[in-house]
Amino acid sequence: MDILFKIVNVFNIIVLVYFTSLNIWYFLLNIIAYKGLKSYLVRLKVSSPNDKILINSAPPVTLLTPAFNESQNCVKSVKSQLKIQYPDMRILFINDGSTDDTLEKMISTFKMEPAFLPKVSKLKTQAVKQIYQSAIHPNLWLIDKVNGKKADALNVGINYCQTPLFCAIDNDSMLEPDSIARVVVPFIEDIRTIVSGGIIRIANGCTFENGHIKKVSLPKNILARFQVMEYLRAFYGGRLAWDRLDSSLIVSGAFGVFKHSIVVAAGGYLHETIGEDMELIVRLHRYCSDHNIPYKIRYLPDPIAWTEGPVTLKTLGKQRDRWQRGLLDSVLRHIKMLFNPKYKKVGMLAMPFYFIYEILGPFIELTGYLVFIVLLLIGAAGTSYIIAFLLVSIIMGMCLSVFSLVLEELSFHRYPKFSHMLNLIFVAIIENIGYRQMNSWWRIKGTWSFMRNNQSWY
Amino acid sequence: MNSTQSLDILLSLLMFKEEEIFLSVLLWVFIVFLVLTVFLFLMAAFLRIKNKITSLYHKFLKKNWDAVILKIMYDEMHPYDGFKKLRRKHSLSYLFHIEEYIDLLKGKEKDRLMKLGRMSLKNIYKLLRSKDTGKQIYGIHFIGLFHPEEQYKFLMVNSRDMNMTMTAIKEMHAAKDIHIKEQLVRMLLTFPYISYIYISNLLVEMGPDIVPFLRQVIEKRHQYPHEQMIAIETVRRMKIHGCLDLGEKVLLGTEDPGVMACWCKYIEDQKDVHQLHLVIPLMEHEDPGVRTAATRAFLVMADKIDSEIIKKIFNDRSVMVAVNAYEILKGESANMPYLSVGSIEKLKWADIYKEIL
Repeated sequence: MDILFKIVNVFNIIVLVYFTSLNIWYFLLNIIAYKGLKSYLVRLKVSSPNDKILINSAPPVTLLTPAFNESQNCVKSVKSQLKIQYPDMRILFINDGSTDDTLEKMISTFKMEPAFLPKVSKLKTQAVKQIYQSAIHPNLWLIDKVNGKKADALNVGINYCQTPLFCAIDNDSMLEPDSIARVVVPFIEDIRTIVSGGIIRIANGCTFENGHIKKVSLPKNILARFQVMEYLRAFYGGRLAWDRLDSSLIVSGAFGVFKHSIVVAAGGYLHETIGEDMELIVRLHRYCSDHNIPYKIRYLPDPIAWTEGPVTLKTLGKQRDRWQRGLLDSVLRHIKMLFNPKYKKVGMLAMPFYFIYEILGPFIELTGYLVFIVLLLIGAAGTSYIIAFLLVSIIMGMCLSVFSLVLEELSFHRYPKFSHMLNLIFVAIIENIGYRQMNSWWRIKGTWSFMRNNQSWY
Repeated sequence: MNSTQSLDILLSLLMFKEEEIFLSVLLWVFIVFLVLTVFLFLMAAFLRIKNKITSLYHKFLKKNWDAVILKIMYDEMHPYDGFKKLRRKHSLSYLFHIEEYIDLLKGKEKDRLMKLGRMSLKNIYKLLRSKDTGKQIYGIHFIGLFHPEEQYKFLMVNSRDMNMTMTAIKEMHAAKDIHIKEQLVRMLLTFPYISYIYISNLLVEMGPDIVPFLRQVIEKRHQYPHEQMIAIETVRRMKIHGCLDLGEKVLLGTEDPGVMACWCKYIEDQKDVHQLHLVIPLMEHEDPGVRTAATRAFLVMADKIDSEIIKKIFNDRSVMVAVNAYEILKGESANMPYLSVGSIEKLKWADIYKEIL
């Protein structure tokens, strides 16, 4: 029994050290993000949105929107894309073999007619059935293809993209009118830039008019509200800091601009992965380092894409399960980069961080809870331990969430009412009881299904 | 257990006097993060309140600023008298506010407000001397707005800081003195990672008096292709014919595909048929960018194009050559009576379609 207690004590200490180090890491990332945000805001203040010279230098961009059974959203989302203010932009809507009336709706609403569009690259994809061009918006094209999942649809878009840059966005994402103009700036300022991504915010609770945001508010649904906090944390505390460290491993599939030639050279999106957005970024890091190509992958905090977050436990669970599988797949596929000094900060810092904290995190967290329950049942742990541990875990999570709120207040404060801020702080407290554990559970399930090689997407 | 006892236990835990070290550690971690959280919460609340108050205060100040600025703009008040009447005239918000007007104006109205803005130079120099990078950037921005000639000094000092560099070069095109302009151009040509299109757009704004200098770059700087590309792109965008005679020197003196492609675009824009003999060999160049640019120039300038050449172009190993050729031919087909639209369509659907679909 004595040995058992010692083992349990050692385990408890490991868990505590793990979580303290994790939170200190996140705290440091937040501090780095703060510095990055401060300097970005200064630049933003001195740049005019009507800078004629910058606008004239903007490279042409093709918007790739893959869609499968998006009959409900397709027209609304394309209408919103048509309102984007950008000097030279094409929209390629890719119907990935939808079985509903997505194609018919697109054809009739936008008066699509069969047209010719040359295929400029040769990534392997499912067959294209027909290409259409809108008679009312000549920059809107529709590619109808055989179903092959999201990565395949994006690769078809890349094959037909004739511009030096393309922007991959989800069909349910709404871009702010100046989002593309802002997100391409890194490509103008530094020709080594190969990817640039913007922030994703939760659209639930907000009011939209003609596909554009009119009023920002918090969602009524508690799950969506949790996600607002999560996204703030992830984008401010996480991605902004990794950008500052030149080690971004994720540019959201919902909104990212890529240099066409480098993506084609690296082989495009991978078909047999579930997290094709993260996998592509990791592969681009690897490809450029292996071929000694100087490169930059950037993340900017203000070009915004609004997206609907899942509102039921089932859909949210599926999403988190998929994210975990994508993360695992991306890291394990490129495990060679882990602790490999050849890949500099990406190999020595970002990859280990994702491996140790994002992949192993849920296991350590849930095992910790299980050990506590067992200890409680056999009477080996006092309630004071349980309460102290719970309090520590809550306060650590809260601290990071409130830090993200500080960053939001310092920068764009998009949630206008004081009550929004108080509400988010309340969310930061209660998400630690129940929601966080559910998230860990979904991620463990994701790991399990990854082991069983389940790659379903839709 | 009463509250005094609980407090004693808590204190002894915090001082590691109890045997339960793990619990003591947990308590300390909790306290540290609690203090941090409370501090951050107070900061978030403070920022929210501060932002609210600041925006209200600015609304109030803007009323005063607008009244004075409008009077000066319409010449109803001398800038010197207006400056005395302004509140918080040394603040950044005031400078940004006056900038909004200047951005929208031209002519005498703009000059009057520039005069007013220059009265705040003392404050701008203070910003420039600050140790805070953000303040320095604001300083560079405003010195660029009110005294663009000064910009190159900051570029020389701070060219390693991307944010400062971009802020400085943004406004420098407004410089008027030709010697300063030349120094600025020389400096702009040395940024290898900024898009050459952006730099050339900045140079276009500087006006045609920098062309002699650009000509020298095109003529002599073969070992610096990035500089040549910027110079060629600038004269192309300025629609200057005066550098066309350098064609042979450029194309025979460089091995850089970027320079070749830029020159082809220049002669395509100028439709300089005298350089057709220089363009034709480039249609066989190994770089697809050069082939594309040369093909475009050829199709725009050639007197007669037979179907065989078009077929060859359409069968180029890079599809972009065919795509660009198609774009030109579609636009030019009306001017090519010897080549019917039908035959182009036939080529398109027969050859390109077969090749690329």
